[in-house]
Amino acid sequence: MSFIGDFIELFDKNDDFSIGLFGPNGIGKTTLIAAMIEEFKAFSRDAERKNSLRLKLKGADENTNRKLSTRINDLKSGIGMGVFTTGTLTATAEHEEYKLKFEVEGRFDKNFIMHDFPGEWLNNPGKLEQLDVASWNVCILPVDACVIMECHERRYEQKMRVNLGIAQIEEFVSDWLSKRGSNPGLFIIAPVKCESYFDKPAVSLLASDKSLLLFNKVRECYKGVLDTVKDKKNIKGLYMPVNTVGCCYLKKPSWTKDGEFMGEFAISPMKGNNNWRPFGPVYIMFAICQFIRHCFNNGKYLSSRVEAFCRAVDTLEKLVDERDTEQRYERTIILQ
Amino acid sequence: MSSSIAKQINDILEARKSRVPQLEELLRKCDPAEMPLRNAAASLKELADNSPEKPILVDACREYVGAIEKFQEKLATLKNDVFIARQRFLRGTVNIGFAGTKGTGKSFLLQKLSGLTDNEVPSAEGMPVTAVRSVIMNSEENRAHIAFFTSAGFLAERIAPFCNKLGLDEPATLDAFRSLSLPERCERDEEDIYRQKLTEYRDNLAAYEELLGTGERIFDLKDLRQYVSYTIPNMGRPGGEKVYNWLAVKSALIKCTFPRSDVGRLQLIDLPGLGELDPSLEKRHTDNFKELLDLCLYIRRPAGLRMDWDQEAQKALDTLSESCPAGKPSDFIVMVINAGGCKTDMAEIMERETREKMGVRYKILKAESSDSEGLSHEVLSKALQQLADVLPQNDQALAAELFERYTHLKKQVKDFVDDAKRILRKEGQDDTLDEVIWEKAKNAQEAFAEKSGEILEDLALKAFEKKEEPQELLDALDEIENSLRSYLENGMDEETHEEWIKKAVRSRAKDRNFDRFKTDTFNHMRVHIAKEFSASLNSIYRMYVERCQAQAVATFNDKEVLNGLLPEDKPARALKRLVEYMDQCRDSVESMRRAVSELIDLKIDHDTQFYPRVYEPIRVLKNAVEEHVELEGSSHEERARSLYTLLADLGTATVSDIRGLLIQEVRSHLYNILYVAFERFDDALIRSRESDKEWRRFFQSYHLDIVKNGGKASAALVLNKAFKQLDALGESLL
Repeated sequence: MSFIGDFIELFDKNDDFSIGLFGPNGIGKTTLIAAMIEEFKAFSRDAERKNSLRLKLKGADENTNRKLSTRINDLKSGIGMGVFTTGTLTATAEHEEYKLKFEVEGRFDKNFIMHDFPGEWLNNPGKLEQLDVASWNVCILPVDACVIMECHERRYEQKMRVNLGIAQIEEFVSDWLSKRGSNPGLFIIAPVKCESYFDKPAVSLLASDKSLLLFNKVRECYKGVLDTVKDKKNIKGLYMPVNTVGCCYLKKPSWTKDGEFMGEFAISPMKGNNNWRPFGPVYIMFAICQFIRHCFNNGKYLSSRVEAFCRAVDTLEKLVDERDTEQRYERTIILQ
Repeated sequence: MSSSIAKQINDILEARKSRVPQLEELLRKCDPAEMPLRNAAASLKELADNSPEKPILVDACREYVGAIEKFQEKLATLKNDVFIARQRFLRGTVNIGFAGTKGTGKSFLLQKLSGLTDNEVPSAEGMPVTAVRSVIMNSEENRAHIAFFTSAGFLAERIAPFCNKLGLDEPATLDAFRSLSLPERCERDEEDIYRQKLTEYRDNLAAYEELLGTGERIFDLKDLRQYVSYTIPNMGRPGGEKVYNWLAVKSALIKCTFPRSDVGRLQLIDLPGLGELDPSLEKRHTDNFKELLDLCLYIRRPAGLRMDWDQEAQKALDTLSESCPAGKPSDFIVMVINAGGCKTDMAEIMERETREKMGVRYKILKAESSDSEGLSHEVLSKALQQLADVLPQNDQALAAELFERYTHLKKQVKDFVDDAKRILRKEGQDDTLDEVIWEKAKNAQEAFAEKSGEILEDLALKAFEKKEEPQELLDALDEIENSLRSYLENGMDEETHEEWIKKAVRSRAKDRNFDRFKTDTFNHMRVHIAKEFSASLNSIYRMYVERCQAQAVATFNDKEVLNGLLPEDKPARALKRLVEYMDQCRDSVESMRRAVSELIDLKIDHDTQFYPRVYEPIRVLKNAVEEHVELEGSSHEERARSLYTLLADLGTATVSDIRGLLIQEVRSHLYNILYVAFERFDDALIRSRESDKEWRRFFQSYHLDIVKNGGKASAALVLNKAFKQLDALGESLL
């Protein structure tokens, strides 16, 4: 039995460990998935070289690998053009499953799946029902930091809430929580496109710390969602803002008459600053690993594979703590 | 004896100086009345023009305006006289003038008393020899200070009087004078003499023209004569050679050591022109006597004159008497019979005749000696004794007379003000009962409170609840953003983007790096961005303030409040008119006035009120200048392009950040500022301790305009203004 298999058997009755990302069109769900996986791969490669960590993440099938590389290539070619605008990347057309597997101490474990689906489904309850949300061990809610931070005008506020699908998200999260029942779950609210609001790492010469303002605005905007999650003892809640591209910053925010946000992002022409360099997505993966370890420890269930996984996560934590200040991720806020 | 003359002169001068502060105080007392006199006259004229239906009031106003004009004249004359007296008392010398017709030996006397000779100041038998009014001062300097006319001064002072006598146009320039056309002769002898003289001056212009406009110059005494005399000695010509330099001379101050050096601070003044046929000297003869002279010696000599006291002598005495600066003419004028150079018996006859006619009143001296010592004794000592006897009391009398005139004028003005106010009150004021007016005031105040309360509610909604950002602000911000974007995309401070690249590459070649060019561009960009926001937004804030003021005007003009009293004008102007009404209220409405003034002065300023609150992006941009950047690119030009992109992107991001912050700040604070300002205004007008009383006072002053005229006429305003100005006039001479 694999450790994930152990986990599923212990805490869940599903076939796979599922991570679902929920959010409207264009918010950056696919990009976040790609960044989480690629950054984790890069980190574990580096860690393996320097240390004895043997926790690897791989695409479990050819389709997953192809989709990931397509998304990353799209991103990189966007960066190469020197400017990014909202909607540059191709939107997801149908429900996509990214099948992944961990390799712990040389042995591959069972698949776990990341669910991505078209943002339009937010307004299509029929389609949403097709999703087996009860099986989602982790629910990630990507939030567009730019949309929230740059909405200064009252006339766009209501439209912004509509475009962000806040009402549908509240309903969806509520549905997920009720379907999870007493099973453990991890809820992560992850503001993306945060490059302009943190001074570490400094993405542009104008970098300044607006992180508290961002947190307050997200909390205000998603108050309904957070209230729904609050007090669910089996659900762990985290706030984890990330830079999904890393080398661009918001140059000019603008809004269409319909209240749709149109961001124009500048890619810095400074040497070494113009490469895809996400910051934070890997920590979401770490958080998921820590969540799994936490569940095992609470359940006192320790097979040799689980023990190996827990050891790997411990080492991972150690390595993260040893990172340089510039690379250290100190943005997580524990919601509950 | 001799030392006592110098001492007496010194004592006189010191006593005079001690009176100067009193005169200066009197001058200061006169000054404040000028403006109230003007204002009162203007108000009364306005009242007369504004009250055609009240003929008695109109007539009274016109009469009062005439009276004020007379006060103005009196005040001006008094001030002038005080000023002259002050100058006289400030003078550091005692001045004795020498007057007399030609050939009386005036110049001879001056020579002897001053120690000058023919070489400096001529004297000649029976001829006019000095052409310039010279002041001869006892001094060891022994030089002459000569002031020359400017061209304009020369034409006005020397030439114009002749032209006037001959009925010719005055030449405006020297060239016009040079080509001035003169008649070949005039019928009347006197005019023909003028014509001859003017012709002579014109034809000899070249001889003295270059002296004009040379200012004041200092000469040795040996060079003096050619500037003050009609002639200079010429061995070939009896009587000397004619010169014309004197025409260019405005004044001459001759400093020389008098034979009697003990006379101290003494000046002798040669006064040419008495009886001379020269219109340019007529006025100058007695000009400034009051300021300049303490004593005038009227010199007479029988040679060439009738020995008895004839009409000509009386005329000359009258001319001198008219210019007597203080006291009696007999204190000021001392007659001198010059017996030198004539037969003794003739001089005796003249002395006897003069003593018979004038001896009772005037002091008469006789000059018989031909040397300095003798003449000093016969003339100067006695003249100075006369001065010592009369000058102190005359100075005192002069000062007392000026104070008396001031007191009298003050009383006249006060009586006038009381009388004018009484008539204006009787003929012009509203006769409505106080109780009726008070009721109207109360109703108006309540109506105002109701309407201004609605305005406040609306502002409160915008300030504290709705918090909608004003559309005009968003439009202005869009415009600013577009303008700045265009600036950032099109070469910033250069003509084009390519021009910027070219300059950057050139600068890099010189400095070996882009640092200086980058820093300069950064700074220019920062300043440009800040300026663009400031320039455009102030007009937006002003518009909101004006709207607020317009609402206040509309509230005041409501039928139930001031019934259209304020003009349909820009709001600030209409409110200023209201302040004017308040200023002219019969009793103070200071709280109301202050409230309205504050609303007029309300200003929302970007640079001081909003810019500091949205400064953060600018600060961040400023800090970014310090950062070292390594640019992408394989050539200098490519790196310059990268630098441009970097700077333009940073500028765009900064503009966006400022825009976002401004929207929030303005949304929060613009209506807050307006709300607070309007609430203060509203409180002062409705809820202050003084407000009820002041509304009543305002209505008492303007009931006529508000209720009877429906704000269409300003009779009460004009009447109140007249009252105010009369009050101010009454107080101005206290």
